[in-house]
Amino acid sequence: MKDYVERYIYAVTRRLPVNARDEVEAELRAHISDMLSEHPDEAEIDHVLHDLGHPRDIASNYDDRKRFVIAPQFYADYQFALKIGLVVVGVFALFFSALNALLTVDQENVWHAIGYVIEHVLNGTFNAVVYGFAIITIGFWIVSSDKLQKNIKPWQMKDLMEVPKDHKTYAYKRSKAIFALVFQVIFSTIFIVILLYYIHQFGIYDNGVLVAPLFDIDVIGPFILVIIIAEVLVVISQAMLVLQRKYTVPMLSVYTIGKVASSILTLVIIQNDGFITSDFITRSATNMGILVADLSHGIHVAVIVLTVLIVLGTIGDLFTQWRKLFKPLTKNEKKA
Amino acid sequence: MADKDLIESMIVELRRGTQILLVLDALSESQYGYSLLQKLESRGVLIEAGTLYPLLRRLDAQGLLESSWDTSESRPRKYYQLNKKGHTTLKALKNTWLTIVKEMNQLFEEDQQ
Repeated sequence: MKDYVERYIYAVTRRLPVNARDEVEAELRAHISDMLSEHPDEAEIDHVLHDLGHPRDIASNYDDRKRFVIAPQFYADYQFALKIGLVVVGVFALFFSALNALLTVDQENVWHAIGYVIEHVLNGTFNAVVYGFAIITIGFWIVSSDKLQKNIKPWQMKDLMEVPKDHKTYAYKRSKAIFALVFQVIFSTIFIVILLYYIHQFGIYDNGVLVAPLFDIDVIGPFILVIIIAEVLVVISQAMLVLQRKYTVPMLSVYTIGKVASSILTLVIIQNDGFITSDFITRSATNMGILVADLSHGIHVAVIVLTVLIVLGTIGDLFTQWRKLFKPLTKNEKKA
Repeated sequence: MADKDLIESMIVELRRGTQILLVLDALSESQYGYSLLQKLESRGVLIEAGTLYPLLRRLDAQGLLESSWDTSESRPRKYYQLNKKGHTTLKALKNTWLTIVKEMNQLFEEDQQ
């Protein structure tokens, strides 16, 4: 029974400065023993201890030192620094880890490569954001500490920041843009990795040996670098959206150039009859038990359908993106 | 009536300012922790044990109290009582309190007229 009282006293005193512990322990024991009858049962002890309150609360009442990591008056600045800092660190980390994944990916097959890219990009970005969080927090901890604040000069009117023109008109929820950017970076990196290292592996295999490659590298090869550049432009435009937090003409221009370039290139490639190897068509037709001419015709139709889809898709996408530049804020997005 | 909680919390806040005054006043006579708590309760003062005991320690550290352990009985007890500095402080606080009450009354009476 008595054990609970001792546990309670310990729970209070262990939270106090060492030099105060013995005295508080003796006082608290005397106070509690006065509140209890001669032979208290468990329910009575429970009642008295709850009357005193949570050990954490009573310890904080005993402890006059003001202690915190971020001083309350610094908290809003800290939050602001975190928001800006983590977004910037995150965006750069995303790019660097994607680039790093591109240069170090050396996997047996395309599936392992995809796994490697996803893991590498997410891991690298997460680590950077955690480091950023730690550094900003420690920085504020130091700056907002009492010792430093005592030596700080009184503030001047001219130190006040100028009011930004558009501080009330953020047009886009940042969380949405960040989410989109992470996905964009991962998918673009995977796409580029496939283009650079694995595209020649696609095709028909016989006993683990590539007998008929899907694409004619001689036809596609010259375009690969431009496709990569177009992809990178799209990613950069997404990053601009995250950093600037709104649609701007430069951001949309970069996006448009990237999108249009990659659409046109794709169209050029698929219009070229030789982009799928004749070996692949012949073998597929045999495997499926149909005529080579029929399969060729099917591919031809598919190319036409794809062309229409790409043209319409690109126009539609660009239209929606540019419209956001002029679109009035929705109620939901204003809150963001 | 919708703001009952708000009013309640403001009243608690208002009373909190009077706590130290009431505790010091009760310590004109020698008291140990629990007897002080009961004395305050009998006077209708709402203060929790978890607040009072640390407050006693703080007032002692501020040099307002004379404190001593009585170990003659089976339960050792620490007794507290105002010392000279404590009495002077209590007197100053009481005077300030009376002034505040007077000023507030005048102000509120004017309001009612």
